[in-house]
Amino acid sequence: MSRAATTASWPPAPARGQRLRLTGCLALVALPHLFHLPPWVSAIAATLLVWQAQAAWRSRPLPGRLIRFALAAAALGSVLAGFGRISGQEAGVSLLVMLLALKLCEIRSHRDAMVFLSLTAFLLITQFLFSQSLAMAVYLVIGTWLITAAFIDVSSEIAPTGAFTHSARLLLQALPVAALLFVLFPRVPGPLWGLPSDAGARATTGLSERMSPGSISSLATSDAVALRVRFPDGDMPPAPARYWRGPVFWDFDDGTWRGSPAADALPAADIRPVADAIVRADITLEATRHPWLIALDVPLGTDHRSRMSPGATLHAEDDIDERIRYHARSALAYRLDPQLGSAARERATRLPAGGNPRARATARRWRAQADTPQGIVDRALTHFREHPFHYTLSPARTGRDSSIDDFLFETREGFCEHYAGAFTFLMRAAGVPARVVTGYQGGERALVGDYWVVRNSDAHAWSEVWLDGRGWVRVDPTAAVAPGRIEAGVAGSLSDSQALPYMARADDGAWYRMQMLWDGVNAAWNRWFLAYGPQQQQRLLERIGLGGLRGALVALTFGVAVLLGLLSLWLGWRMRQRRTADPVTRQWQRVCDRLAAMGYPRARHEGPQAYGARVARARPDLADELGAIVAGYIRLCYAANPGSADTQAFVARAAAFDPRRPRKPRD
Amino acid sequence: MSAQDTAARAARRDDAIADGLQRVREALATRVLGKPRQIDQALACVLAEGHLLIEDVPGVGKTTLAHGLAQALGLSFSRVQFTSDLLPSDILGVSVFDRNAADFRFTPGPIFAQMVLADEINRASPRTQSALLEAMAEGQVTIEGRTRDLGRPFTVIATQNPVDQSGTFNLPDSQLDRFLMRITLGYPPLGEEKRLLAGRTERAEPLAPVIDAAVLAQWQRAVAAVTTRDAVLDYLLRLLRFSRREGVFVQGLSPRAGLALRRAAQAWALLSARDFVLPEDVQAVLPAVVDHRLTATEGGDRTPSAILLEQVDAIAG
Repeated sequence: MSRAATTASWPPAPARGQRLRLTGCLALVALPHLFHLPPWVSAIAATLLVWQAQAAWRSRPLPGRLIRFALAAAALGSVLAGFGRISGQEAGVSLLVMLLALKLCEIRSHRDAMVFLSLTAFLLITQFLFSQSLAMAVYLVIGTWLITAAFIDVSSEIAPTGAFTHSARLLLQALPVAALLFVLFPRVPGPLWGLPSDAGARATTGLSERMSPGSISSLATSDAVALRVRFPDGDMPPAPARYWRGPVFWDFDDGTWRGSPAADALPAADIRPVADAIVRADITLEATRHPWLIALDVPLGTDHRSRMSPGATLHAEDDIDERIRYHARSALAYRLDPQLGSAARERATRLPAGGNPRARATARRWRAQADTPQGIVDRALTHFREHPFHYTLSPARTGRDSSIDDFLFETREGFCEHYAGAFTFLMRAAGVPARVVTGYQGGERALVGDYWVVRNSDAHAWSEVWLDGRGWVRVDPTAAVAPGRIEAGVAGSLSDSQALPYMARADDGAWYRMQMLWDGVNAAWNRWFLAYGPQQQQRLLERIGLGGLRGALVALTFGVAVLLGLLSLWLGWRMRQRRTADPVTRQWQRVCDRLAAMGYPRARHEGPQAYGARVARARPDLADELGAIVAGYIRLCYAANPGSADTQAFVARAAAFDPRRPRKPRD
Repeated sequence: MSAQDTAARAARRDDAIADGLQRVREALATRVLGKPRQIDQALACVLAEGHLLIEDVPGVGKTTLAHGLAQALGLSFSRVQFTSDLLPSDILGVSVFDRNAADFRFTPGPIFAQMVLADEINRASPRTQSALLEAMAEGQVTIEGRTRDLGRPFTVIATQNPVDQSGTFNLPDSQLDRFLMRITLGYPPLGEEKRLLAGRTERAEPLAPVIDAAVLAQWQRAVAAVTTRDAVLDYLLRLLRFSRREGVFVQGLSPRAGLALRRAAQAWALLSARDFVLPEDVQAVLPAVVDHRLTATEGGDRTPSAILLEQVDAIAG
């Protein structure tokens, strides 16, 4: 900065304007946090901020040490009581917000303000722990601008408005460096922002590891994006093939379908794809907190580390706690498990010992009537078609032990999980191996950008039956009841589509278009910025011809970083050096330092004479020596025409001064 | 003449000044009891060729101090009691028709003295006040189109009663800036007041002049010659810059205030028998010089000079 920073600092409470600006800065930076932190934390933080703003507005004096200490202890205690710890994502950020709000009433010096602003900048960065959306990125840029302006504001005499301009100029100048570093700085694999300790704490709606009546219909009320997909070779397959495979459930008990861990004891699925029916897709999956990698039915593999489950679902090694991108291959025509092992057959036909007697009886009757398993399947689908079944989000309740019977013969209202569950039950009761598959069905094309969006409201459940010679075959009983579900999506087939969230409805009004547009922008943001990992970096470097230079680039980046570090060290050293280049000043500083070490620091307002007199009063044994030094210093600094002899005498005397040396007590 | 001779002469002259100042102090101390600091401040103000504002309740010795100063320094003295019906001509003087000379003859007003005591200046109308203040600023008055020089030395000592506020016109801030210093006297200490009551003082007789106007002028030149090195100028600058920081004071110190502070510190150095200024000199005159020029926006009961003193580094480093 061209302007010399003043050595003078602030009055005990910073000037009103400054105080208000610092409070405002923190309030703006903390604002997004207040919406996702627990309400009690937000309430405390908001109260503290309002209190600080009011105190600044009225120019109230800063509270005393005791009050500040009590408040800080209360903040610490409340975080400990609320979270049981003070580290971790939410607890840490909560503590930081509260303590920063309290720090406001402790800012007395320039240094305090610098510490406060540095911590505020850190608080700004923590926003990325909670959201990495484009909107948040824009907010963070504004926050950075504000904080930089505040740094300028507290460090110089530029008017506040000038600080904003100055700050903007600085940020613009930093932009090319930031862009270069973004592209070239070695990317670390794995999520940069994920704090795994808290990952499970935040519930995410999505597919679950069990299915009971109501579990999928509750998903249908969320229009959150589940995944986005691009097809590098062409387009989305036609609607009847848009089945996205998720977890598969083998075990039924108590009205709930589960994919128990025991299912993993079965051999992995044996998939025989038909050669020209393979589709490649680039999928961006939102965090699910589960390990499944969703892909078109039936998945063959991904470039993400994964294994194939017995139910032909791709499992990643860890839960998906962050949005990930992967490349998946799927076969739209296939033979799945042409041979069914005895263990798998046993699992796929097992039913609880009792319950739902009417369904069992019906299944046994169908089995007696039909010649082949295919005949049983057709008979069951006919049953769904011919009886007045309703496809609805809000079916009548069924008993827990008799859920299948109640649904099949009494209420006849249900969402896909009712149909898939009941159908699979019927097949098993008739001796046909069957299992429940959950996932998504459908998808919509984005308005901008060449990609498709699959939402939570597209969640779906269907059945698979194992037929001799054909392997597992997908049967979707919901389609028998509501054929529109497959063609037109959930909105086109529900009798009560008003219960659906806006984005899932069959409507393409202005709001819908705007939302889709925004989704496009976000998707681009995800694709180009958030998903920029080691592989993407390597690919980009190769494309611009620097692929082979990756190692060299890494070395260069670190080299430049080390160089910059050394440069700033050198600059700091030189500034210090320049400040003490004058031997008189240096020696005087030394004398002051030594006296300060003895417990007599010079108060900032003390002139040399007053300081010397004060120390001499406290330490009469030093009086003569110190008196001579002070007189010499005063002569050199303040009197007219000091000679070089004076300088030498002073330097020698000051250099020899050692207040710790024992002296003879004066009489 | 060799350099040594010059130095010796300068030292002798400085000794003479120090001696003279000491005698003036002692003389004044017999009149204004128990107020050595206020005597020094008033002396510094006169030495710095500034005007003095004494703000205090009646009867604490404002007039005594002013009168004593004039007597000890051998200056001509006049006193104007300001009232609401006082006119500018009552201060400056009027031209009267002289029948013998058949011409107008100028009768100089009380302003034509080397030391003018303007008692209760806030009682007069703003018009009269500004006539006085203009004279203070210019060192000359313009009456009926003719400019008349007031001569040197010329010192105005104005008094103000801060308690009695009804029917007064307080000096605006811009006018306060024209007073180099503002001091308060306060009640005398216990022992001194007893002496006063017992009548064991020589207040009745006039003070014998210690010096005359010519010597005072020489002293004033000596003040201007007191060395102010960069270390002190930088300190002054830091004080000025700090006073202009946003939010500390309603309005910062003017460049004129900066010059006043420097000159007052020089005078204080001379009073301390030193031919160079120390930060301590600046601090000694700081309350008298800045407190009437600044209004703190906050800081409770602390005076502006206390805020400045505490917040500004006396030594750069």
